[in-house]
Amino acid sequence: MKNHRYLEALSESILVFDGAMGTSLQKMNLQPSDFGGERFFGCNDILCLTKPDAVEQVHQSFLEIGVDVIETNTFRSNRITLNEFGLCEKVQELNLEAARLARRTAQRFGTPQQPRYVAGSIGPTGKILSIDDAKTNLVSFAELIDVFKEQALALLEGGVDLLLLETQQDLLEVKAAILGIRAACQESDIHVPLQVQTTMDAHHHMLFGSSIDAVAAVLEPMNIDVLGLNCSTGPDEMEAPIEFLGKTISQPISCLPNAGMPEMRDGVVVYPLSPAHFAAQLTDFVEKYGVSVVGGCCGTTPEHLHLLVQSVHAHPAPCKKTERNAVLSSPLHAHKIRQSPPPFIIGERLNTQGSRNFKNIVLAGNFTQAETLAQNQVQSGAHGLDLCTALTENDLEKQNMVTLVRRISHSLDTPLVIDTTNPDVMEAALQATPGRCLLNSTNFESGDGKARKVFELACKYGAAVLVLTIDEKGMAKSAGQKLALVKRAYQLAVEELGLLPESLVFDPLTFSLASGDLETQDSAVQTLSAIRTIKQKFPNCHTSLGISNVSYGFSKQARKILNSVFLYHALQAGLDMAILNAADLIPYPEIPGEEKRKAEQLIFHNSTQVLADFIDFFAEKKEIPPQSRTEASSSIIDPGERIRWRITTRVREGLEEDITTFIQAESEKKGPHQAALALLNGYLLPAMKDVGEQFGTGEIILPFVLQSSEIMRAATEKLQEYIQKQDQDTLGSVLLATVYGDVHDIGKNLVKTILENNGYAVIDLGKQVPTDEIIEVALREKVDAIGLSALLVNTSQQMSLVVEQLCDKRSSIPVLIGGAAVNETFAHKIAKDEQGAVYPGGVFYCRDAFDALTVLETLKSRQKGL
Amino acid sequence: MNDTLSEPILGARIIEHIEIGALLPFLNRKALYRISWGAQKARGEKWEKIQKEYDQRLESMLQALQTSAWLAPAAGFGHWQANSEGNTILLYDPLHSEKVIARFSLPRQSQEEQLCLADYLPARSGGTKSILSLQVVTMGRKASETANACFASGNYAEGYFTHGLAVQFAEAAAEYVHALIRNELHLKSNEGRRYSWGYEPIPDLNQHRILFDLIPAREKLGMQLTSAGQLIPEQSTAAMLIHHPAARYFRIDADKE
Repeated sequence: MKNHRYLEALSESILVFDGAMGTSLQKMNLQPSDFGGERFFGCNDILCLTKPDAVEQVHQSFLEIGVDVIETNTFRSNRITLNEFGLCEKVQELNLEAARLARRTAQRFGTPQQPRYVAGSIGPTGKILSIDDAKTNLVSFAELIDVFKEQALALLEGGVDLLLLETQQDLLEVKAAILGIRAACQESDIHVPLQVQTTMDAHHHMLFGSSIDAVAAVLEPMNIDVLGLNCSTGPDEMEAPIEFLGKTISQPISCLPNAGMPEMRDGVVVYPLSPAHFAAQLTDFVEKYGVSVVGGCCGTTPEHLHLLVQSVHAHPAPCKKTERNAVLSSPLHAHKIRQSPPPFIIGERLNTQGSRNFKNIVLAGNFTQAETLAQNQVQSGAHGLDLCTALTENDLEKQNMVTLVRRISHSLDTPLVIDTTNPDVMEAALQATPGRCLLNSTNFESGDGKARKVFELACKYGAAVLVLTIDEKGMAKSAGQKLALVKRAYQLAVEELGLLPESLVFDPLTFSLASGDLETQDSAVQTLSAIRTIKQKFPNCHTSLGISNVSYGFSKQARKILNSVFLYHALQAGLDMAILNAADLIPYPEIPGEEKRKAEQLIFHNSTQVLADFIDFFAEKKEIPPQSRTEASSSIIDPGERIRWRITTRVREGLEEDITTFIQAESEKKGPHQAALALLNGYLLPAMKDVGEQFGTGEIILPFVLQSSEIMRAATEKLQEYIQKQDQDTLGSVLLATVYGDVHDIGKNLVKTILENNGYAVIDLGKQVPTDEIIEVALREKVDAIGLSALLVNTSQQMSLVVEQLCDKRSSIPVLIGGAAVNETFAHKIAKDEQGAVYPGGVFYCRDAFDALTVLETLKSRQKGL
Repeated sequence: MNDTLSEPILGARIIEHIEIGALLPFLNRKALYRISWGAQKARGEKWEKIQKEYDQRLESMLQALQTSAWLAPAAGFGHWQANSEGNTILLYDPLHSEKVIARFSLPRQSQEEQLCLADYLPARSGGTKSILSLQVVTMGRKASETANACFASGNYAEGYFTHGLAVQFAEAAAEYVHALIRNELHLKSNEGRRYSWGYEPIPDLNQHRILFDLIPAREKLGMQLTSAGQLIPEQSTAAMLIHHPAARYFRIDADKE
């Protein structure tokens, strides 16, 4: 049975949902006995059995003022949340009764002019799938599907007009819920529309950081009928995400805010927004952003909804025009498939079948290293990451894929490309990440069967699919054969199974030009021509290529040039995505003319002679240095320079080995002690100086400086092995303290970090340090300078006490000061005594840690000059 | 003046534990990223990149907070009937409404409008009283310990991020308690201002001692004061809440030292 009354009404007019159920019930002052006893007190959902009048009264209060849709009192009626009250066996009964109650009440108010509808409310379970943590993650994706299916079945039986998945906090749970609900429709053969609403904080993030573009990317393709937001905030805070949905998604949009941002009053939540403001704001959304379903969530009263009904019922259904943007998504953000400039680069190195290195990583179960590899690819420009864990050595493909998908989902804002031929592995991966993935890949090698399976998965989970042009006869060689296969895939996936055209990515295959095989001599031309035709005939679909196949068998340098030139021409033909190692590419304009010509000859006019020329030409060429961060390290021959580079670019892995290499090489001439000093003074300190300068010019931000300092510290610790203790050379010693009465020491800690890692010995006295102690230690240890920090005006006065006492002791140790309440003028002021005599050591204001470094250097050179 | 304030419960109250989740809506991400995490004035593509990276960092730090509670948000606050007397704010005993139990002496501008915070309360001579609220929030002592442990072990960046997050959560908690107070007094969400000791209109940190006499922060929240009147733990803030709709921030003397 199909009940699409709700959607039909929605196509003609704006529909208004009811307001708050929970807060309305609270106002009735219900007693434990109303809930069937103390132990169920507060379980609103049970009232449908124990005190249905109360629930009916709330429904009625909203129907009376003219809302179109009421929600069943079943927000928490799933097995998991009901279990908190020991009611998990009541799922069926509660939902059924609640739906019937709402249905009966709605029926009483419905007229032919204004039929009333019942939405079956389904809230979250409170179990968080997206957290990769055994403690909180006690439920599996499959179990959640069953939990939601159970609730949906009872609501359907009770006669709801639509199912409403609301207040959802975790995109992965939403996926499970949608599948559960669709399964319920299937099983009961009662098909009703599904409306999905997530909830976002005032800064437009879901609980785990998903932004609205990720929400739209993941949910729009998931076979839902209405998408929107509810709860958490008032309408003001929802405006930006609602505007985004209005511009982006094709489905109708719903917006059911709270009556303003909730405010706490001794554990009781209160909602401040007036009915007039509430109604005005939502009407504005209807007019400006094409919202067609409105209503209220927590704290909204019949008064709020009454004004809303009056102001929106006159509006016709909005006519939405959206710009369709095909995207993939990480759990946090959506990323466009059509990048500008193209292509969308899919990093190819997390592939057990393509990379020996990665295969060893997976065999060893070293997923932290896999994450580093993923991160490196993103840093070198990958927009998405291909993941392949298939191994002949064991049957852990699925398990490894799931681990990898979870780990990378949590650590990187990068969409994932699930690379496997096994639909089971695909499905497991899709259940492990909240993001929108690309499935890589399917084909027609064994007929329609397997391709259909993969397309069905894509429809079910809202994923995109990469289709290779291969059929029962093998890999398509000519442009014509390739196109015929694209048509076949389009027919099955889009026309028959209902996949969106945007979700299809075609890879028309490319073959090695190194084989000398006459049959594939013009294969590059055929591929380029196929890309052009696919883009013309299927403008909404996308194209992708595994670029490096074209150069398989050539020397490393020849491959780099040929890949880069071929990619350029593929992009000219309209290619959208490319699977490659971004670090291995050379921008087309930077390829020398002769190399370019040789590669283009091979691509467009291949023959036995051209091929031989090409191979000869590159036999004489040396390698161009690679460009990726990780690989760059191996291209810097001199270990000293490499260590310097590590500090400035924050690449730590391999540091210790480099230091050992450096010391061994230099020790032959001058011994390990001198070698270590040479490294410290010749490379490490200059590197930190570069970092300081970059910070000074605003090129890098403070956290990067700290990461460089961490590597610097690791390097100097390693050097301790070689430096003879009695001769530990430092540039000078500095006493640091946060002054008496002051507990704020972050500034002082940062200064310490920078000074220590720039060659100074630091005596850190901590915070709240009495003046006497500062003076005593400074004189005893004969420090070269004193650094003082204070946050506030009143504690800064302590600095002047320190200078006074130093004066009294006839000391001339320079004093450096810093903190929010001090400045140059203050430094000058406290340097003078009452008679106007200036403290001989000098008082220097330092804006930040690098200022302090500069002051110390100036002081040193002044000393030398004397 | 301020006669719209409803009659609240007078005297001090303690919230021993505030959920991190309740503070999230009040956490100012922009301030966190730009001020406490060093992004400063980064713009354009660079800012976008930092934002994305920091969104992730924040998310994973929040996740980690669920298992290791290095932030323990708690607060004390209360309402007192109050009057002004020249440059001084007087607070009355909740039980004996004529008995003055605390006095805050405050500076007055020598120029401009010659404002003093006391002006926002009705003069004692006029016979009517208004409500003044005080609040103190803390993130607990583990916040600094955790950051300093990172620094000590060479995880400088981690220490910096940890410290920064605690600072901004303290701000969020202050916002949260202020919202709670506004709500209790039926004020609009932008009505009234919060003045923290150490700033120009209310410079004397030693007045924290008066605050601690009114709100049992030592006994119930484990807080202390330094010799200079600073709050311990470091990630704590205290404030006087002026509910007058015209209340604004001002400087005492723009060119003073």
